[in-house]
Amino acid sequence: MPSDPGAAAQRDAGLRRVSRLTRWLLAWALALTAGFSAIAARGFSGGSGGQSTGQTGGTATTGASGQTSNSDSSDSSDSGSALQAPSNSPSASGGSGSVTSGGS
Amino acid sequence: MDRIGRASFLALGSGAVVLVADRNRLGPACLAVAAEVAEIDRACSRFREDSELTMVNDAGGRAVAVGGVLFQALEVALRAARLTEGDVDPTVGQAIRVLGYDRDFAAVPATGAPLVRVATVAGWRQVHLDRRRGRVRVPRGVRLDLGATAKALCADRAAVRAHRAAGCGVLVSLGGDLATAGKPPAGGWAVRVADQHDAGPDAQSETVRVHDGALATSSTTARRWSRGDEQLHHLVDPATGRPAPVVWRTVSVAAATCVDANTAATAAIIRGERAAGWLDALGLPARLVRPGGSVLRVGGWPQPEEASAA
Repeated sequence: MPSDPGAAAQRDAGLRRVSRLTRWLLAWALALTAGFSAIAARGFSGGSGGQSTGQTGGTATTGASGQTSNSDSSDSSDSGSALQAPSNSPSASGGSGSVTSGGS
Repeated sequence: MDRIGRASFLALGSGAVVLVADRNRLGPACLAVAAEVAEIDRACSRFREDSELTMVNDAGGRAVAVGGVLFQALEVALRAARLTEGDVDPTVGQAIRVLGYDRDFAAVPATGAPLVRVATVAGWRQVHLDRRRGRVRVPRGVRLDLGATAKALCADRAAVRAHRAAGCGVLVSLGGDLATAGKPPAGGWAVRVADQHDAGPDAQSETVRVHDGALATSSTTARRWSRGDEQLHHLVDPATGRPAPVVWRTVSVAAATCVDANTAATAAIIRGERAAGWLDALGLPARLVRPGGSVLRVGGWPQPEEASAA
């Protein structure tokens, strides 16, 4: 069947518009995905670096660079989010003691 | 039979005391403590030219790779700052230098010209740790002083190390800040609490039994000097860059670790009147002494027995 040259040109132009639109949508989708990923990475830093949830003044900012802010550390030296009391309080005693706790 | 062994020696510009529940194990315990003290001093001293901390302070704002000991000490210091809302702040180094405490305290002149300025404290949030690379960076001009936490960390680490070496209960005191590890002797460790760790027998004091954890004391009566007519001490308020006003002359705190005990005791000196309520709310047994000598006990700190109360 012979084709109408005008209709073919219109069809090709429409296909080009659809193709451009598809590429733009793909690019936007990638950009949005990257953006949300970055936000999520900052908001929910994981791994052994720990989180500062519930800690006063915490500013967890572990990023892709591995740079760790001063308030985003936790390991055996960062045990818990509060100063910890001893299991047993000291008890009263007579005598002089074998050692003295005082300023130095 | 009293099987407790005791030894003392100089350490970190002050005195170390090692107690062991089995006196036959005193040697290994002392060797372990001495090794730990040497490691901490090499990493954390602000008076040694060859320490890692000096390297960080002199880096002019560049990131510096440091070893595990200093990195842990910095993490501990920043945690202390965070938990005290900045009352215990490692960036007071320049402020305390300007006040005159710029060398080992034994060499600091007891008197001098009046102060003409104080240094602003940059604040602990200016310290950046890069755990992945093991690096630390502080801005140019900022100097770190780990005096409020490094000695306590050393006591904690030394107690654990000595306990492993000796295989019995141990108590390690460094300049009056003490930590325990392992099973204590029957009845606990008898610890005298005073203004200064080398207080004479006539000084105001009381004795308690420590069963676990740690006990630390901060005092404005220790490490004092004067410039002009002004009496200074080493506990600097980060908010002003000056020695904290003496609301409490001495605060002793019991906690799970010596780091926590010393952090709380130092913060209490800085906090002044707010300290007692803060310590009580945290459930930390504490003894606070007013400049005139009256004592306030909070958080379950025991009332003294008649025989030991001064």
